[in-house]
Amino acid sequence: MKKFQLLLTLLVVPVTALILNGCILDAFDEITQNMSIERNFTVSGNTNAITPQSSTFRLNDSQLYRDNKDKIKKMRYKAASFNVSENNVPALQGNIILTLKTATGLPLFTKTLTAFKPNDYMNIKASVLDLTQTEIDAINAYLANVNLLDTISFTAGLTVQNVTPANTNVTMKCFVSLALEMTIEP
Amino acid sequence: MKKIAIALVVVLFSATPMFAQVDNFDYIDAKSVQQFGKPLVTSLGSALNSGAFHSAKVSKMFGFSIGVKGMMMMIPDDQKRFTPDLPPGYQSITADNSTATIFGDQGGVYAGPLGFVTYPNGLNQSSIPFVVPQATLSLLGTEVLVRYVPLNLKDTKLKLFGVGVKHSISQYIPLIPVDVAVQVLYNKLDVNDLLTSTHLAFNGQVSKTFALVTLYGGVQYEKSKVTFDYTTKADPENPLLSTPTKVSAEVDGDNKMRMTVGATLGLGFFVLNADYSLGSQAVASAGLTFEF
Repeated sequence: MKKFQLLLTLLVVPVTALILNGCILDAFDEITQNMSIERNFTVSGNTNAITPQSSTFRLNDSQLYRDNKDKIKKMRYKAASFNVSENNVPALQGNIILTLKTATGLPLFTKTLTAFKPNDYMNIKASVLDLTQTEIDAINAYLANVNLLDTISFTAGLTVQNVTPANTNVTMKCFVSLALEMTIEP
Repeated sequence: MKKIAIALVVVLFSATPMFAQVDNFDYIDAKSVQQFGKPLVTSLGSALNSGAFHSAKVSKMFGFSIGVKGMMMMIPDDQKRFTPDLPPGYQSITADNSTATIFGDQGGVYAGPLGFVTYPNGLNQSSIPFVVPQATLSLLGTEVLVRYVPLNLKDTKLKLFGVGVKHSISQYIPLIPVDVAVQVLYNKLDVNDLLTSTHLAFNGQVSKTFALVTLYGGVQYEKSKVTFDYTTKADPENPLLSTPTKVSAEVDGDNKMRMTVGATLGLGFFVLNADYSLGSQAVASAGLTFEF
């Protein structure tokens, strides 16, 4: 039995060592996972006076983040979008101003969707926000300290201007969505 | 017994990181698992259907061998990405509309009316190693091959069982200048509760020995099937994963046919062999065997 054990070990170890010497294991040092996080808004009232809205959200609101938060090595921005899920005025049109700020009020981006028609997007497609490299860098800088990810928050703002048709009661449900990439240590 | 256990752990350690990656499946919806996981099925099939012979010669009396086979599967570029089946209105945030398979690189991010649909990254690998120990027993022109590895390592519980039967055809043909044999091979590999895989192969093989060197080749038909069983994790932000869904999907590998050429160097009891197989995924295989 001892000879058999020795034989098996002699056979196995050299070949395995040869294979392990490759770079395969390097690939498992970290894995990446994309996640998204959303913030809903309900715009309602008379189109002549729609009140700006803001809402604070945290990464911890995401199930995917919570599942992986103890293993995250890096977090970075991938994309942002604006979506409409409900709108009771089909002819509605206006300028949508979207902002994203840090917890301390530092602006991360401001985007204006000029002459936005919600019905062109509602349950049809997303309006992908085109961020500048400076804006992307600002978000990534805010996400840079992984030890603080659990506590940092974002404040999303929504302002609607130059709305037509005038003097019409409107209810529009919409949301801002952020896609992020997590680098995780397995 | 402890040494054997350690040796077995070392053997399959090279394969276990791939299986440790199974967490990624938690975020693959039922519709995408076929395409995301198919290259893994093909790789498993290409690996486990390899290394079953290094000569067509079968002892007419009694023979025994024990050895280890190492395989390296080459992943072609077209098995690294797939285009997912998405709800209407979705498009990639980049010009590339595809996402990574388990062996690909970047996972896709798709914007659409219900919010972002995101996919996990792959392993970003162009080749995957696999090592398996095996033993053969031959008697009167028929050889039985056995593989068995039970392995519990960290989060990975893996069990491999394989059996093959090879029969010499040349023994019935007087004065034939080459050795000819046929073989059937069956392997079953279970990994955690995630996957159960079965691999079946039939081959015809021929070899010719010149002093210490044997040249061999073969043609093989094979079939691999993996059943993935898992429950997706809830990701309310992802429209495809808004609620946990139980996924049970059977995925067939692309490995169907292969041609193998190789050479064996026999140094007494000690046998070294190397071969190369052309199929859906090319496989380079090498083995160390003690033959008695």
